[in-house]
Amino acid sequence: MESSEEAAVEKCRVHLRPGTLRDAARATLHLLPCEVLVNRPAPVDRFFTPAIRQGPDGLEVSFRGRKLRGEEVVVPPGLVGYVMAMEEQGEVSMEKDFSEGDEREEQERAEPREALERDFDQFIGAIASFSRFTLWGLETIPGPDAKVRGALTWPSLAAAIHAQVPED
Amino acid sequence: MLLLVYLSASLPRGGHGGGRFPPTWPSIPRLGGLDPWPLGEVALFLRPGQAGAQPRGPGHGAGSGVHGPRESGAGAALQATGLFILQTNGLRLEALNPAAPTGGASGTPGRSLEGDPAHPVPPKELGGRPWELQFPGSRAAGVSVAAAETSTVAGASGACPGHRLVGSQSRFGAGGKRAPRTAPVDLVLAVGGGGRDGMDFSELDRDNTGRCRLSSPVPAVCRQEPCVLGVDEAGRGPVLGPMVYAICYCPLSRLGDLEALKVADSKTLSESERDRLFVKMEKDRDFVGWALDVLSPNLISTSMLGRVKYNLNSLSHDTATGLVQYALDQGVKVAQVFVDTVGLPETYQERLQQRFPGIEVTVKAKADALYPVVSAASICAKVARDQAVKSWHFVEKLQDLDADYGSGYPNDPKTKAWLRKHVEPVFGFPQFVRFSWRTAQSILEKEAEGVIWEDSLTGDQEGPGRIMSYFSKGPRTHPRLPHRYFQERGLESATIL
Repeated sequence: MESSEEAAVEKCRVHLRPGTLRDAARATLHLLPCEVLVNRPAPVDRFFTPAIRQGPDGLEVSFRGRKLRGEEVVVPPGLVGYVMAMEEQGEVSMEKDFSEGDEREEQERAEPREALERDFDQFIGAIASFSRFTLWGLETIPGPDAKVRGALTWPSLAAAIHAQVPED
Repeated sequence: MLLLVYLSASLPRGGHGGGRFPPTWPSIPRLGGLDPWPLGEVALFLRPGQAGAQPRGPGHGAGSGVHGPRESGAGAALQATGLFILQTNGLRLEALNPAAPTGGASGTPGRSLEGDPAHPVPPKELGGRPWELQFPGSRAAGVSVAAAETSTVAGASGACPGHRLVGSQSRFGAGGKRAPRTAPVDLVLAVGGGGRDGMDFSELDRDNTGRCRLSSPVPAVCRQEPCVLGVDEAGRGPVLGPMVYAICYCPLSRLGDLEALKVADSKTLSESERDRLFVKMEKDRDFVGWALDVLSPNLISTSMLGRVKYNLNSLSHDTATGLVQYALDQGVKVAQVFVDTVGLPETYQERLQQRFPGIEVTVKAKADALYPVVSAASICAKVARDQAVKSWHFVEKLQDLDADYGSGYPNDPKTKAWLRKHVEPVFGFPQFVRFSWRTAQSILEKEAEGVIWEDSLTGDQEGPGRIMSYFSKGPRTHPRLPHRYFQERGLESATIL
């Protein structure tokens, strides 16, 4: 959250609904090696999942006529994956989320109550959780050098370099 | 359940527990790829465990000697049944699928076991494997099928991969109303569902996302005599469904017999004529063999749209080459190959000739009209393609699927309408569609969401800077890039949502 550069950035404040993290259902996720230029629900269960085959060296499927090879990626221990969605503006905020919200690492502590509900306040909540997902590569298995795998090593490194160093 | 196949005339009705007449057609499992069954083809399966050993019936007395060594067990019982049928009908048993599948030298291709009481077959020859009985070259009228009341064979499980009983017609239908010569019958008896007749699409039904090879048994004579082999394809142009490559071969000495079937370019024949000709070829399986590759539309799409493009011509050439090699691997003595061309005949011919130096290769346009063996291949290919399209199992779970997609050719308005109707905004089309076809692509461009692939980004991100920028006085302004650690992991810092 940037609040100092109010001139440049449109002011906005994001609040997490902590309750949604507890209730989020497990989801099956696929990370494709392409960008679909739309954000909308897709019939994955009807078109994609039934077409997945176990090939000699990993999973195989095709998307838009191109061959994909995939493998499972496990979220590192100590972390949980969430699929987050922004609430539509104008949706009624549920106060109970804040009353029972205890500290979580991703959570922004609630502002004083009177500060909420301004038009720059937005709410996000988890709509699903995951501890593994299928990573797909275009014609090749993404393998250990895949960017995503590298990215998943960052949290532990970040924790290490930000940890308190004993003073002696 | 053991079902034995007889001519009705050879069986007194009363003696068979009121054997069922007429047979229950709908329950007969389909053995080949032809639908509906050509008139007169009958297939019955013997389910292991209940197979009868000694069917009662006329000829039983005469055949009592055929039971051979009276060994107990499934093998012996099946053998007895088999030999009984052999003897009553004057048949001989041929191994369809010799134990060693590779090479002509190994195994005992074309081994024959006559139904001869004097030379009983050791039980191990028959027991424990499915076998099939066939009366070739006959057509049917006045034939009935009876569920024979038989004794039980315990544990007759399993399977001899395709033994075939080949009969002469001389004693066929003996005993009463002889089936008219003009309309004899084909009877196929199979144990344990070893369906090797016609085209067995079960593998394709199981998975139609890749490629699938089907083939006939190799006729014994094709392993002994020099053969001529034809190559042709079906379904190259359509935007829907698989492409099928087929080879068909027969001994040079029997080419006349193949011509006598009046095979012709499959394009000049109606579907029923093609089916009829294919059945004829199946009847001549003692000297005509075929094999085919079904290339799924998904395989075609992913090949043509690969990072390294694998175009349809190369795919076709490689598939044809693979099939010729397959025939050679099966022990077929290929002496001449005739190929309907794809692309330039000269370069194609050179390529094939180099690949198969010992074989005389002829590549020609319209070879399917010029050479009967290529016509035969074109019929195999077309019959298979029609069958595959007709019984296509959609991988996707589609709602209100419209089966009326016309010819499948891109210029068919029906096909185009079908494509438009079945666009899914994210996934595009079902895998039945060849995504690589221009027709499909242009419909996707208009009616589906855009997709950007990692390899479709052409280096316009960091184009070359303006020349003048090298002469500017001020400090060169580069956007500050994050540390390499983050770049390599695709990590960016985010400050706003």
